Amino acid sequence: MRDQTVEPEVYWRFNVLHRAVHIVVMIAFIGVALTGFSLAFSSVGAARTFVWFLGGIDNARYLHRFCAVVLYLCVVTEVLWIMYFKFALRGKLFGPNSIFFRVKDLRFFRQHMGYLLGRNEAPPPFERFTWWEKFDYWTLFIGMQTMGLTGVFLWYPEFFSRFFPGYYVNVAQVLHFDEAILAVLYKFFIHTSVRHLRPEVYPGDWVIFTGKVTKETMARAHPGEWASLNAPQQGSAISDQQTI
Amino acid sequence: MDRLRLILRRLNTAKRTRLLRSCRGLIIAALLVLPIPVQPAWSADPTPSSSWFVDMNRFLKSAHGSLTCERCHVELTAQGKVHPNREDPTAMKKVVVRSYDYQRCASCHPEAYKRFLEGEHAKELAKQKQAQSEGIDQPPEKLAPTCGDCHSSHYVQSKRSRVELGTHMIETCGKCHKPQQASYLRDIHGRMGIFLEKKASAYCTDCHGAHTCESLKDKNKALEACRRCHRDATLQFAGIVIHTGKEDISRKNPEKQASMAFVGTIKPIAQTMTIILLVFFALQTFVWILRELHRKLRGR
Amino acid sequence: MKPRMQTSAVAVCALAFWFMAFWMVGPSIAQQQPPGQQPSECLDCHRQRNLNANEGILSSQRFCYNCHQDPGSHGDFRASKVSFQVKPEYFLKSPHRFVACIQCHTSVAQSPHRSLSGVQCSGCHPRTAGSPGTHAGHQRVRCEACHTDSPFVKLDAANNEVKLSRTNAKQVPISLAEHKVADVTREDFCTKCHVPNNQVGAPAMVLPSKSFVCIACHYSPMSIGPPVFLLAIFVALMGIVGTVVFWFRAGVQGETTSVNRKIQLGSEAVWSKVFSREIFSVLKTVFFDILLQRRILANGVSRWLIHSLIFYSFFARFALSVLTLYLQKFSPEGDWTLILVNRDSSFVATFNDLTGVFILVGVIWAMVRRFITKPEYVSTQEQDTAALVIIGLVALSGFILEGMRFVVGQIPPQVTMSAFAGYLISRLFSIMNIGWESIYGYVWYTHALLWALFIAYLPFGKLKHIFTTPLSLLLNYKKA
Repeated sequence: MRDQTVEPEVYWRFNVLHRAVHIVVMIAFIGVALTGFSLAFSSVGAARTFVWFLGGIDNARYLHRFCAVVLYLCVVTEVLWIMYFKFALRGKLFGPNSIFFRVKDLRFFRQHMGYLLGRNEAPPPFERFTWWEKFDYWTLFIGMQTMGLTGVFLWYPEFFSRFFPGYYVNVAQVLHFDEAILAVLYKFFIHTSVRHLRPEVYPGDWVIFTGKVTKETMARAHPGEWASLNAPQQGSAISDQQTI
Repeated sequence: MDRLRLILRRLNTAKRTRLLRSCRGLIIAALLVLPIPVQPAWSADPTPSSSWFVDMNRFLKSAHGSLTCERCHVELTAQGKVHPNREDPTAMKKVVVRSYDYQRCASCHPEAYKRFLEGEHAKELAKQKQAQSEGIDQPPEKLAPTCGDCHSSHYVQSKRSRVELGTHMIETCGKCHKPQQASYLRDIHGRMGIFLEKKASAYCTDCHGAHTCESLKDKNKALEACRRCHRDATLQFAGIVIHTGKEDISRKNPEKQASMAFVGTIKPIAQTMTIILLVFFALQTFVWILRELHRKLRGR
Repeated sequence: MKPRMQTSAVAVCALAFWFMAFWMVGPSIAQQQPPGQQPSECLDCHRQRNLNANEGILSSQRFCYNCHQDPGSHGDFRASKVSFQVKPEYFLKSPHRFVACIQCHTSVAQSPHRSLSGVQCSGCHPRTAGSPGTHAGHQRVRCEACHTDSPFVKLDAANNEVKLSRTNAKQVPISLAEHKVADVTREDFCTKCHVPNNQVGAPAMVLPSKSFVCIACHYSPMSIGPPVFLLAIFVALMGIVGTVVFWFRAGVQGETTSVNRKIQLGSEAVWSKVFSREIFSVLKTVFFDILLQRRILANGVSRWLIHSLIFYSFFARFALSVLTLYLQKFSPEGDWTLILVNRDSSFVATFNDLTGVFILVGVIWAMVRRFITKPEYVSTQEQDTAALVIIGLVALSGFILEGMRFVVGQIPPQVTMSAFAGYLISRLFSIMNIGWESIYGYVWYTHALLWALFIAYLPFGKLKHIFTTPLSLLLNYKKA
């Protein structure tokens, strides 16, 4: 909401649900990563110290599964929110304010690469969500499905081997590990660099915790959305800022 | 007088309390820390146990420490025997674990000896003895084991814990079954049992039998072994591959070959995708940061 | 807990502790024999001696001498008699006469009587000891191949090892039991291997050790090395002296005539800045402008990338070389030392090739900008070209040399693959059937001479920016 009475020119980008989900996902992700790698790399002394610290491998396994369930519940929450957005708030799933990919994002990607290589002077006029924010969101979503499925195969191998040949468990082991490596390396290096080390947002992009940004940030980071907000209003069921 | 005594007593208590409080931490720490180096550390054989020199310190601490040399090495001290016999041309060339008569072990270890005779190692040993008498010799890495190949009679210890036994076991079995040792340590059972020291894990003999040492190529036999812990397992469960190394998959097991071929195609695809994604985004982020730094330095 | 209860609790704990301690340690304090038994005759020979004691060592040697001092002791190999006698005239004069046989021949005292692991030296002698100039390049040569006075050596290509040969040139088995130690200070010692047509993959020429100035890229000994480097250092020193004299010809801090006053005023100015609050601004300049080169980044992203590819590679190599030197002196047996001293270890090989490739990429990119794309703001003078050409040639000749070394040394691909660029070059070279082992020495000298040229030219061309730019940045630091 354009809050002109209390604070000047503050724009809401994330509602409380999203902020809460992000915190829970962050903590649960760290939990599964630490406990999972202490099993995968158990030949390393530091992993064994960590397991000892948790009180034994059985506790570590329990914690891993607990955090995994919490993570998947967050995914379910997001799916429910998308349905709420579409049906209750009558938002457009492929509109400019949606987290879903549009054809325009391809153009934005090309222009952004041009900016990085020095061909364009400025980054493209991003809308509500930039192409890499959408990419992050959907890769996490799909990743959770793979990790969940393979994880559940490894959790109940006796049950699943009733319906699938035994080597599916071996496949699940390989995929679970490789995808974990990808997710953790991506989040630990790339996600943190983009959100903490990038000069535009250094020392950190706190919007996912506070939910709001200033007018200048809106104009710089999401010029497309900024322009449509300043354009003459069209009647619509959703408020300007309430989006996916 | 009484008042003085009371005062003194109170002073003493206070002083004593202060003294104990300051030393308490140290004493507790000492009690916790000191027993650690004092415990006899279990260790593997550092030198070949078939060395001509016997380390008496370790021997006397071993399970056989109360036995005399002659009890087991009867033939060397028998009447009319010369030791060392420099006239005998084969003396320096005999492999001791091949020439010692291990039936002597059966006098104290009858159950183990009987189970060994029923198992795969004994059968292979008998076959090789037969082949040797016909003049066919085995390369050293293919020799079937005798008791002495796995057990050090001079330095074996008793009353070891399950984790200690298991950890020693993989080194012993791993001397010949190296690929299986490596693939076991990559598998969840190896990680749990050896690195994470979980008592209720499966070590070599838990699945393959103690002294019987049987192969689990037959899925029904494998299922029996799995069911010892995974009580709800079905026959397809026994199709889960534990020893996944390339050398573990014998050509006589087409089903296992097919399974691992399938896994073997998925793995490189997953790894390549991971690397491509990470490298692309790492480079992109790096150049992005440089570009924004440059912009900032230019005052834009 | 009340104080009195605390005391009792502590006392009980202490008693319990000592009880446990004795219970566990107890048996090792017992006598060497089970009680009530006669000492066994077997133990006269078969008891393991205490090799920490001189008596123990001599007694242990006597066990082996039973057979190995007899001049007649021999083995029969392919119808030849090979003596097993440890010759007293060599062994009793050797530095190892107070070492027990089984301390070096660790796995030989067993049936069958053959050593599984050969002889080991690293229990007493660190692999990295001795003059780093010599040993560093010979990591794949077994100690005894040089230090035993036997002229026959062979290359075990599968294990990538040079070892003593058990047969002579005519394939007749020879005795290696004499224990005759070689005199490594002899002039012709190196020509055991470094001759034309040798079978061990050694270059045909005896090459000198590196010079200390090579430490910019390689782990080097602390000596000047070949005389050409002495000349190069001398020339460079002259250049530096000349530059400094030139600077002090101008006015310093307002003083124009007295050199003494100039030095005094200049040093006072530096001193007062260092010991003041402004040291933090100075440090900021050091970090952002000298180390991270933010001024270059302000000029352009590609300039920063080109310069960083070259600068950070050299910097990292220099840092690693210095670290290796430090570790070899102060921790000669450490795990990291063994890895870093061996240039064929996968870490060092990959690191060196990666940084080398970065340098080449930087030089080529710079050359493309200067000579091909030629943006208007880039001006190129002869000195720029000279600097780029020298650096480029040094890096290129280094890679060529590495490729040749892999071919000449017949080093197996499992080892050379870590040095990915050198590996590719060596595959290319192995197709061509030139006499690589005789050319190798000349290319080595070329690489060395190019670096000597770099050192000599350093104060005269644009390469002196390596020192003058940080200096001027410090002198002109921005006050906070």
